[in-house]
Amino acid sequence: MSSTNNNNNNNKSNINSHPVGRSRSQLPTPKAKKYDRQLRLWGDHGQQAIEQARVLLIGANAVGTETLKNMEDCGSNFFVELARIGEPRAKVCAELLRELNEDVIGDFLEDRLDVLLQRDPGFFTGFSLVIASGVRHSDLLVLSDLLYDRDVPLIVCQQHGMLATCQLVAREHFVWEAHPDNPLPDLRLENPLPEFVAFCDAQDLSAMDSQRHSHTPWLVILYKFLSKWRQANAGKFPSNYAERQAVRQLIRSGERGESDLHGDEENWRQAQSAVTTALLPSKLPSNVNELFKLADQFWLRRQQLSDSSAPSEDRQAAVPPSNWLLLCRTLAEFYRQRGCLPLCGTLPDMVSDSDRYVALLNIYRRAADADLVEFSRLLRVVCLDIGLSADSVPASQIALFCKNARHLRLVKTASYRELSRPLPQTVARCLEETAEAGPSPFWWYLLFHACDRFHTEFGRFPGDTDDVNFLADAGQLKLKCQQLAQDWLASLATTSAAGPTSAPEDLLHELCRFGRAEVHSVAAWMGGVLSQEGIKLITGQFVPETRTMLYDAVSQTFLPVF
Amino acid sequence: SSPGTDNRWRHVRRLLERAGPLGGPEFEPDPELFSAIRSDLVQILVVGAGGLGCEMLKDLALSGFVNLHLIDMDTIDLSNLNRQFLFRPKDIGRPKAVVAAEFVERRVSGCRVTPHFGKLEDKPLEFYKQFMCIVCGLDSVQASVIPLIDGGTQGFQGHCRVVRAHATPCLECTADLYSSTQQGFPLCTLAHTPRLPEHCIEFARIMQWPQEWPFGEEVPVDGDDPHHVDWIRTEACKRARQFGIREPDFRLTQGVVKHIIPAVASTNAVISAQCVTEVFKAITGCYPLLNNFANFSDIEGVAVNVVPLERNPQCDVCGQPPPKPLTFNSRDSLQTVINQLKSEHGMTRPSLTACVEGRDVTLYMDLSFLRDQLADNLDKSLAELGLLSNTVLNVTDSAQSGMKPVTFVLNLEDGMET
Repeated sequence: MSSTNNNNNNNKSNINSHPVGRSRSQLPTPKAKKYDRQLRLWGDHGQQAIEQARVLLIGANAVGTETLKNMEDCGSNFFVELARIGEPRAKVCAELLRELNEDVIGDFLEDRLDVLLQRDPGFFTGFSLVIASGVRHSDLLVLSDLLYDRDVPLIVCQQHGMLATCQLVAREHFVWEAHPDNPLPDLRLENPLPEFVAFCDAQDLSAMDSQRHSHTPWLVILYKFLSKWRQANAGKFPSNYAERQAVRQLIRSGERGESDLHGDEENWRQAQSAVTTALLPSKLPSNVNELFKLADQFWLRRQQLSDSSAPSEDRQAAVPPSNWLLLCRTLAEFYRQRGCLPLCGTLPDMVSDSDRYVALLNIYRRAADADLVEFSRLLRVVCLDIGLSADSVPASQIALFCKNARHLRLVKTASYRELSRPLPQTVARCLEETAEAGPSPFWWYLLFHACDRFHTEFGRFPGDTDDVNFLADAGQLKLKCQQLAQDWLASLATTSAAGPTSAPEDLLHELCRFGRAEVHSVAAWMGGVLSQEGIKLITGQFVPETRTMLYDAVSQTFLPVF
Repeated sequence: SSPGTDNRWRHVRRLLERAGPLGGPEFEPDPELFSAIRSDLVQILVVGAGGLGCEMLKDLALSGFVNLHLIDMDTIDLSNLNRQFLFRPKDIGRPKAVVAAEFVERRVSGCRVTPHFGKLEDKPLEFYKQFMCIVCGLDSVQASVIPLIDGGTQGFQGHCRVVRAHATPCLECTADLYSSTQQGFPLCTLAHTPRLPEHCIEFARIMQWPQEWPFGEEVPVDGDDPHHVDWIRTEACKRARQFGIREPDFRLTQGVVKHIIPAVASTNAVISAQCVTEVFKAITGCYPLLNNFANFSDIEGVAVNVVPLERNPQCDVCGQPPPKPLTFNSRDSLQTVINQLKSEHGMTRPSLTACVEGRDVTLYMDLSFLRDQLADNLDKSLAELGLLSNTVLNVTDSAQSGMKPVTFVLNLEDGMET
């Protein structure tokens, strides 16, 4: 299976293998060998973050233990469900894999969680990540309130038979390395690097022999014809499809159309196809613009607090900004001064002879290094300005930040309290949109909450009984569902116009059928997804899913609930 | 079974013993169904004991299946120990299938796992016949009549698909989906115009190694031997320095030499689980099967996308429409069959071949010079001709030139089956 990801085209080696080790002997350590396959995905620094993170799992049920197992495979250190504090982790893990009767643990856990949240909230806030699987709504409210403002991300999930929901709850999560699949190359063609210009000008395409001609990197070819077009168009940069096509035509006119010893002129073809991506006018990505605004707001507020005669408690609330905020503030300043983001410094591979490709790489790398130096200087000023030491941010982090500047983003969700009580307009819309093919995720989600209310009242889940008459629970479930929907719609002026608040009979029946069964393969699927989401949160790499999602193993869909 | 066991499987039993409106169209809940899926009738084969195969085995066992088979041709190597819970240092050198089987049997009581240490390709056709379903962690199984669930992963992406003969594309149909990730650099680039560290590595591996045989005459590159990899890296670095290219480290070198595909536990877990859910549906009929190809990616957000792939009509392996049944009595003559082909299947001059006792036999050819030779067959009964139920007949019509053979399957009301 492949997404036609051709490794040699986007220099993935830059991301996956920073030159490891400064010593000559580079044979891998046992740990590097053990984690080799995954190190190639998130690097040594990602692995380090995983191993240093402290993760709390609440919920020794199928989804929980599957998530635990996957993350432990990656080197995470887990704090295993409250009921087993102090026991050796390997023993517990082995038991969990074998033990399929969780009744005792489940009940015990819920009581303990309740109590512990009251008695020792500090226990929870010391973790890097909390995963809550199958935890009651009322406990989740308390848990989330505790974690949200302290920026401890929380992953919430529930399973009922062939269905499972999950939701990330995080006030702010910064993505350092998004690893986009096909990033546009950072070429600065609108405002070309002086060294690059000199390099290109020193080459005369028409005077080249066929060997040289067919091994000229497309970047040089593109630049030359772009310049020609710009000269003929009062210096402007191509701004639409037609203009880019004009440049492409110019390039085509420069082809020699001959086949030499080394094949036909693939570099000229590459130059023509590159027109679509390399000549797009650069603009500030919206995700980066958002970060600028955040940084500016933060600084403004800080300024206001220190200027004001606010009581000292409030001023204490002006905690030192996290590294990413410092960096974003600096980035905004850099952009204001230079009109561009720091140069990424890498180039895609392209047909070329060695010396010219290497020369180009070096030109771009030097320019990127210069931008990094400039950026670091600005950062020092920013730090000193607010009373922090000049080297508050490690050099490696600054370099990582600049390299990924175009793809940085802040991910955030509302608190669990807000997320689990959708806006009346949203509820009304979802109720009206009856799914054409099969049950809608929203109905399932509503029913999951109704099941929780059922559990609160009756001490068990609908259908979770050995009684053959399990369907009898459907009536009560339906009632709970109706009450809940009306509750959610309460503030709407015309609730009656919102559509049916009566759950489809099919769905009620199916949920009672499940009786909150933990179908193993469904739990394992969710465990796989949640473990990766956990890794994203811990490493700050890749982009987490922020929507409330429902996995339906019947249709094999994973869809947003709202 | 003890009360403990019953309780352990209550989740599965709910699905099998209770009716539900969203179930498969022919699903009938039955208290016996749980024992039925644990009877000898239900044998499941898992192909491959790698990251995916081991997860699938575990998921199948925890889903209640008890007759599992696992086939893999490798023994455990030091570099496999990151396959987490199944393999330990003491298992090095032992067949993967054997160790995985032992582990699962120990952990899930009542589950029997039969390991097969060898290549799937070496197994005869009969081997497949004992299985009700095959789950695949490798794409090397040819189209078969029983449902095949196939899964694959690469880094944070993966797929799960259901393959059923004649209903969905076979693996061959969609072979182009599995485009190789092999870094096939042009030789002239390696030799004359290297640009990337990878070029230097491949040059050392492909060209320098067989010139210098650093570890002995004719001793091939072993990507798992760190000394081999380090030799390649050293040579690659020399070349890189010569051309001003960034020098590769050990990890990159080994990655290129071994064509390593990055892998992570989470994607393997997801895809295995999805496959096993489909196996469960295929065996129990409790829900409709995936139709028929699901993509998965969790690089940005989490995306699952189901596509109903269509069969490739040009496919060599399965490009035939499903065989139409022809119902007769074993005493009926071949002529009767031919008459029906003419009257009900639009044929003018049908010619038939069939596979009888493993050999292709021409039953009748309606071409001038052969008509007489095989005319005797026309009066013979199907039984005399050695034709049994489920025999596949390939029929062409001599009156329609360039026509592809049409397959029929014989259904003898009284006859024995192949």
